[in-house]
Amino acid sequence: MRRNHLFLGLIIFVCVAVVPPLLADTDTVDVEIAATKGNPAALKNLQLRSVDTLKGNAPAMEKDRACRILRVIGAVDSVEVLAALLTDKELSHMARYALEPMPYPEAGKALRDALGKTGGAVKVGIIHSLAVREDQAAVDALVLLLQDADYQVASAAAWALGRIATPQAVTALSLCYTTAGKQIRDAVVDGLLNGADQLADKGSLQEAVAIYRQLQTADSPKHVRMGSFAGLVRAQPDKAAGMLINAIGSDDRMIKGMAIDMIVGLEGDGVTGRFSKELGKQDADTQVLLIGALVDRGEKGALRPVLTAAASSANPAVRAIAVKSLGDVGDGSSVKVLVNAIARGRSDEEKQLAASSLRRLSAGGVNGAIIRSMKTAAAADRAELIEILRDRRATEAVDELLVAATDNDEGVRKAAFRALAELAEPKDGKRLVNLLVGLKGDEGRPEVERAIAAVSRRIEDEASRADAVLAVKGTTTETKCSLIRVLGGIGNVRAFETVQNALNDRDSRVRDTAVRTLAEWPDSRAVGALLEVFRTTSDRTHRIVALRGCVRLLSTGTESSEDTLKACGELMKGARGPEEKKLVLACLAKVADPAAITMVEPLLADDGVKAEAELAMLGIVRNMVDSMPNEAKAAAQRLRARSKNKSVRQGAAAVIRQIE
Amino acid sequence: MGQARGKRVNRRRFLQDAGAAVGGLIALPTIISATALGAEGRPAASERIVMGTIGFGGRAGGVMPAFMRETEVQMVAVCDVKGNRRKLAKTVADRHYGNTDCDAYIDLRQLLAREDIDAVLIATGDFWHSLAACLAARAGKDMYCEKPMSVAISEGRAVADTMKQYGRIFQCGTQRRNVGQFRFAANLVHKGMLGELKTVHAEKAPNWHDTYDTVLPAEEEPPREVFDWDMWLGPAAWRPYNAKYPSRRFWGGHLDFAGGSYTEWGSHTIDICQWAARKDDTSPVTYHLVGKDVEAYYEDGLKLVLRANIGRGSCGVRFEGTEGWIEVDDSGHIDIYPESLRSQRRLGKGYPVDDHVRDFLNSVKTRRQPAAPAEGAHRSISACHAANICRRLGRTVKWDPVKEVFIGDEQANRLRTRAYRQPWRL
Repeated sequence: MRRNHLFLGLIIFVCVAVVPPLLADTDTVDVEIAATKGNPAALKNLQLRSVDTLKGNAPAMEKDRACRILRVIGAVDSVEVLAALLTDKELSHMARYALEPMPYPEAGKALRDALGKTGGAVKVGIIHSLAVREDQAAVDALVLLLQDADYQVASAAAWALGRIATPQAVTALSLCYTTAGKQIRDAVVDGLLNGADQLADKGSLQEAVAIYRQLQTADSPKHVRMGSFAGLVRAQPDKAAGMLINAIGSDDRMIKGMAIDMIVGLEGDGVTGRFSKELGKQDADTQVLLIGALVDRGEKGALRPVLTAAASSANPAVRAIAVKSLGDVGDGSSVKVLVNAIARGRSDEEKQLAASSLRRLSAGGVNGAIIRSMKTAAAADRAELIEILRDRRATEAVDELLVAATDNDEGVRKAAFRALAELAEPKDGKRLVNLLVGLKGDEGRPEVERAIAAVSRRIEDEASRADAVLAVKGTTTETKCSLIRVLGGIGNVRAFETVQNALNDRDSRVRDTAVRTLAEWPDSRAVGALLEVFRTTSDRTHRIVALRGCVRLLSTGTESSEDTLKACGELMKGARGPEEKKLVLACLAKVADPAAITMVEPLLADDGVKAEAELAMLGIVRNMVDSMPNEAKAAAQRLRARSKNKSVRQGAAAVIRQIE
Repeated sequence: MGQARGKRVNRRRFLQDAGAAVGGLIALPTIISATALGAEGRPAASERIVMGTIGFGGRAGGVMPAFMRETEVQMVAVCDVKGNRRKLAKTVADRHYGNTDCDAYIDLRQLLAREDIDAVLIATGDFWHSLAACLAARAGKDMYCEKPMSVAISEGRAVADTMKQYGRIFQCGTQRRNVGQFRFAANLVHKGMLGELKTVHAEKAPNWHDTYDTVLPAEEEPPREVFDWDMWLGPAAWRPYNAKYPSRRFWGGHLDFAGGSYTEWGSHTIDICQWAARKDDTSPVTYHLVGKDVEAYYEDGLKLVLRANIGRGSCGVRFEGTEGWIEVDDSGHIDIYPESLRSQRRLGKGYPVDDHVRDFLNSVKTRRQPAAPAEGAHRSISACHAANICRRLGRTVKWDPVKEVFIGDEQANRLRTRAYRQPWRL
């Protein structure tokens, strides 16, 4: 069922919304008006032509257009012709369309004069236009129309009087309300609500209050009672808080909800304090909404003690909203509450919520407070606090993290290592190296290695980035291997030379680490050393690691075509089987050089690597299309002729077509 | 004439954010209803939010099912002036519930007169949105109303005032306020992560309509049951029937029915810009034509650029501050500077409506304001309309966001409003 709905929605959306509009309909009166370029004479001419259209026997839609023009540019002397159309059933609306926004008193008079000459829907429309114009001169006539036999006319008059909203208009509506029949009652209520709002906006608060009270009767529909209650609150700022407090305590859930929402916009001092006192008297659901409204008010100072108290509520929803809110409005003083919630939260969700709030706290002094809390927290909570400090990017925590990295608790140590990798700075480099040297076992080793490499890379002077690492002497094999990996992460000249020298270390683990580090070297500087390993090592693993490393570095494209081919030639020459040749072919596929074709083409006859050779050759000719089209085309033709692989033949043909 | 009264918009976002942050732990209190579960795992019938759908075009085809997927909603009635759409809407509802109970109406007033209906989805053509919203409010209904909320500035003001007068919940269908990548971008601004906000960019619909007011030749009018032409026109100026009018591809650019490319996407993108800039209670004060685009400035100097081609998908926005910038759109791709501001969370993509629907239903139950209330929607669409007026008049216009009038420009002020065809009124 759900899929059907989605499909249906998609089909309709594609048909109706996504298909680009195909439009040639650019006709608009704007063009005619713009053509006058604001020239008074041209504007006048356009107006007079429009007036003539209305006076003559033009078709209705031409008169429609003339009214649209006069709506924008019609001067006072165009009112007369428009007034004549107000009683015309077909054109009355368009006449109002032009007259309604005109600022001239004459337009209002024309509408008032037409009232007595029309009836039914046309009259209703005219009444509406008088309302939109807020035509006070029409009030007398409209009051009389409240009694009109046509209920639609009477309803329109009620609506209009509410919009004009003079004291006389609103009084008339108020009187009418007591006797209004069912057919016009809604319009009278609407007029009263609108009229009362306008009176309140103009400062006639007592009059407005009287109207709102009139609508507060039990037989009024719920939404009218809600609207008039809101009006009463707004019109009585001195009583507003008390009224809302009473409403919050009421059994009417709609009024209660609306009252809570209105707290957000309540003006005046001490609002948060006053409503906070009500929290304890309310049920949990109401407390949650109330806290939400108070948070939205944004009076942080007044709210913090309230939230601190609510964070220990017996109700989980109230606790949760308080803990959540502290993340938005709390400060350093809130840390203790939130750390406590992490330690003693009654569910994982509650603890996560507290942790999330700690992460969001934005006031000054928060990191310091968390660091202080760390020292006395239980191990599990300490680890959580370290994670939070890491997410807060609290670089001032590094000292404490270095201590935590030697903590007895494994979870704390791991968290500290992870945090150090992200927070440590160049100034911490030496201490991190000392931490690495002091490590026992492999726990935390990758994180500390990563941290040292990361902070070293941030040292401005590139040549000195490896100095702290190279200063370490006489270490264990584990540490030596770690330092080699760190040097690989730093990747400067001194680091490279040291790692290259390590290829000849007496310790096989150090040699192994050096080969693997060079294979992962960040730039092509290591190609030569890896080639040497490939050529000379008797260790099969080192041989394949070196080969893969070479291919990776050559494939980055940072080496010249000539150097790449030279290296590939050596690799191919020493390759001992199809798997190794395939790796070299993959590298050659990225070159744009006829010499690469020369190297690859013979392998098309080698069944062990034929498929890879074809793909490599296809790659090479594609790379050469722009720079050497003739050579590329000739090679592609040979490839197409020799290959039995359909997709390779198609690829070669595409290259040929592209060149032709 | 029709000037704005003092308005204040508040943030009212805390509970939405709280719900999104921790899932069920801070489930919004069911202060109104929906606490008792019925036998089938849905809220008991007496506790459900009973709804109707007004207008079943392309948009409702997606949004109405989103409402019906919420177990606490019972869609009991649909309404459309087109017979085939009316029938389709009823079929969709009936199939969902496995019965034939959904009632179908031509005239929205009949649907609104039903006392059992609590809330409505309004997904008519643009030019009906404001009128349907005001009618719904006076009938005591809460509403989820598709964007743009108005086709004239005065309409939006009337809607915002009416919602307040009747204490109604109004959620504008600007659902990107509840979509991950847009929320992320706005939150960056709210938290000051981009520094002082200097310029916001809002995308207009590309390849969309220039506005026009074309009159088409008369064609034979279908029977009312097939297509109620007079009702379709509603408050708009009457003209003879032509089958091209009801096509969105046509009416979307016709000034009697819509506002073209500016309101089509601007209603979303300017809305997101205003929300991010915490300007839900105002609009720019000057609008200038720059080539074919409009640039506007708020009172505090913040610049708004309305243009095409922002981001890699639809409805792009770009926020530029003194310390960084971000560009997001429906594709889910985010361009951001500095890169350190990028979220580690997956923010999603597209413009799903489900969270916005959920947000509305929560508001119906709690009476707190939803993410896209009427006042904010009015202010953002006002900016779209003012930009359109600037473009139509071909000159700079100045706007007073307190009185909601153009300053010293009578022609512009005449375009703020439009007279409704009788018997309709706002």
